[in-house]
Amino acid sequence: MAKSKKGRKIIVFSAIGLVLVGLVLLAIFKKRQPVITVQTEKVALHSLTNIVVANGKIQPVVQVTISPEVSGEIIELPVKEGQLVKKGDLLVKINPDIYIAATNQATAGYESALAAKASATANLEKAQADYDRNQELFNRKLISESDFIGFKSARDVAKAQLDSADDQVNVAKAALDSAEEQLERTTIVSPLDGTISKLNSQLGERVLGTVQNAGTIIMIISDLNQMEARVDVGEMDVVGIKPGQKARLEVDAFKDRKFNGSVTDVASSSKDSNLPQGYSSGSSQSQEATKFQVRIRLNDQEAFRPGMSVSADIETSYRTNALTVPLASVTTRPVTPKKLDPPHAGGTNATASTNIAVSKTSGTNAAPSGTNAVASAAKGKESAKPTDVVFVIKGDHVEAVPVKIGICDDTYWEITDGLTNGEEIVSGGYRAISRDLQDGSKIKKGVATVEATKP
Amino acid sequence: MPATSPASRLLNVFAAPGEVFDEIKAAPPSAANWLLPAILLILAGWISTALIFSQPAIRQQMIELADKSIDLQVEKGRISSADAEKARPLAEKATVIAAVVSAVVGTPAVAFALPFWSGLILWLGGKVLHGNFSYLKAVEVAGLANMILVLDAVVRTLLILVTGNLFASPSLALAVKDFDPQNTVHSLCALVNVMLFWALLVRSFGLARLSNASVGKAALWVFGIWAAYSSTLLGLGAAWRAIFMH
Repeated sequence: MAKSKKGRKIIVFSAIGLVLVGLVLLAIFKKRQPVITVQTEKVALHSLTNIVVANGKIQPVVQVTISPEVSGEIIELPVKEGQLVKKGDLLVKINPDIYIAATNQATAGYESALAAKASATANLEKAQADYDRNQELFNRKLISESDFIGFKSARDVAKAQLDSADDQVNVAKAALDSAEEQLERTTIVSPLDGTISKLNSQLGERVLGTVQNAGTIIMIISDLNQMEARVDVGEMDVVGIKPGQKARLEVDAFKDRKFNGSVTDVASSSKDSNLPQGYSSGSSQSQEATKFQVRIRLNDQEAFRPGMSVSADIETSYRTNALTVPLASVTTRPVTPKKLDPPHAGGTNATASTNIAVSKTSGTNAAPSGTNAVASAAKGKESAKPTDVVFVIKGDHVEAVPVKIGICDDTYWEITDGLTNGEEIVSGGYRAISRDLQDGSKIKKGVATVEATKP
Repeated sequence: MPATSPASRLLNVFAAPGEVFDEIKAAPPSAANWLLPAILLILAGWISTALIFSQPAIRQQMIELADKSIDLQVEKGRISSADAEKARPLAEKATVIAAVVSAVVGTPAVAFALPFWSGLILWLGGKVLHGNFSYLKAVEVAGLANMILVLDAVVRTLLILVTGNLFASPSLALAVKDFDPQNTVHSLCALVNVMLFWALLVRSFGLARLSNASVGKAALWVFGIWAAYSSTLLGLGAAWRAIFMH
């Protein structure tokens, strides 16, 4: 009885011991690697349209700022904001009193100069007659040379006085013309057919002329029949934008509608470059991205208003049957050029091949997120360069394959080198691609999640 | 019958539980019979936690679980995608920390509560089977039976380390690919656990010895209560998911 109990104990403990030892050995020697859940897709052919998205405002193609050339009080303002005006319609009348007075003064000065000129002419005629008569007497030696020179001088002086009077007439005439011009400028008429899109001043307000300063902007007249979108494009995208390219525009005020347009002008300098060198209105400005203004003429007619917000999708390039992968599939990892294989050293292919330099660390802390991951991984590895890669499925592992990307649209990247049609690649999740996956990581295919679809 | 040492009792409960419970029935009450297994269960739980959460594969699974629950919230429109992206790193950290903290704090609580809860079931079973023993005797029996759960903790930890699956256990769950704790069928598979059945069987032996009843009747009570209790928990879980998840 005691023996059978002892035997049973030995059997039980031996069985337990064997199981535990077996499990411990397995646990010790089994290579453990995190299994990352991913979603996959196949590399496929698609047609791509590269879109540059930019935001801006609707503005009229023709827009004229009305500022007075003379200063004074507005005594007539027969227009209001939003009013349609024709070319030549009266817009503003500035009090002309001082300009009328100035004109009268100039007129008097002119007339005075004319009178002085007439007097000088008469004097010259008399001096010329004296000179002619005495020259004959002098030729007959009836008068002394001294007397003759006196008559000659008198004639020359009279001639000079006439010239001076003539100049005075010109001066007075110019002053009169200027005064009349100033007087005319007290009346401002519309330079074009359009709409008063902005009216800043009101009746009775004193405005400054633009002769020696910026002047007061009384109003803005716009031709609302021809509108354009003025959008700001980043410096990375602006190089691909050219006049004539098509654009689809969404105006916030017209929900669920898209308008057609075409690029008419691309700024040759950035918006900030208009500022004088060294000028900065604040620290925040220097941190802003450099933007270039692009003008897009709207082909569709609608009741657009200047200043409406607009978002433009500018089609910069197009590819048919391009080899594509989902946007989310392309990420960046540091890659080092592969060490040259001695037998192939010097060969052209040897230098072209690459090797993923990231150590196959495991766990969530292994790879810092985003661009920092790239930076930190590259640190200390001089030859490691951040390279675009796509993770290709190889059984239950992935291989980070360096790729060359072309254009993209909302969904896909064009792959110009590195992949072939039909290869299965990782398309999600976002965290796995951006952080967790490394060359050789073990994976399992999971269902697509919301996070997985994030580009 | 000569009294055995506490260590002998702790080991003999694996191979000869009837002998151990006969001795317990005859001996005066001893706290060591439930306290030592509880302490061993705590130590096993803590070491298990340390080992499991040191594994990158397991941490990855925890993070994926957190991500999955956030995705579910986004799909249901309870939070926006932008908020989800902000919450994701926090949730990932919080999930791992919560799991470790709950293991560190929860293990002692369970280890000390389990003998008393199981003891209560045995004591009630004794009443049903017309046995005559004190509640503390039932606690001692339940405590010693928990030695099987100590072994379960060790085996479970080793299985997790071997398979890299957080939900691995000596149960039918091992056969389930991509175990989902929110899946009722998967949860049922996890309940078909060899070590758990062993522990229930040992408790049944204890109840039979204490109440002088047959092992069959005692097992009927112990397994019946366990089945009812587990079914209730599974049903509540399924109802919770049905109401709040769908």
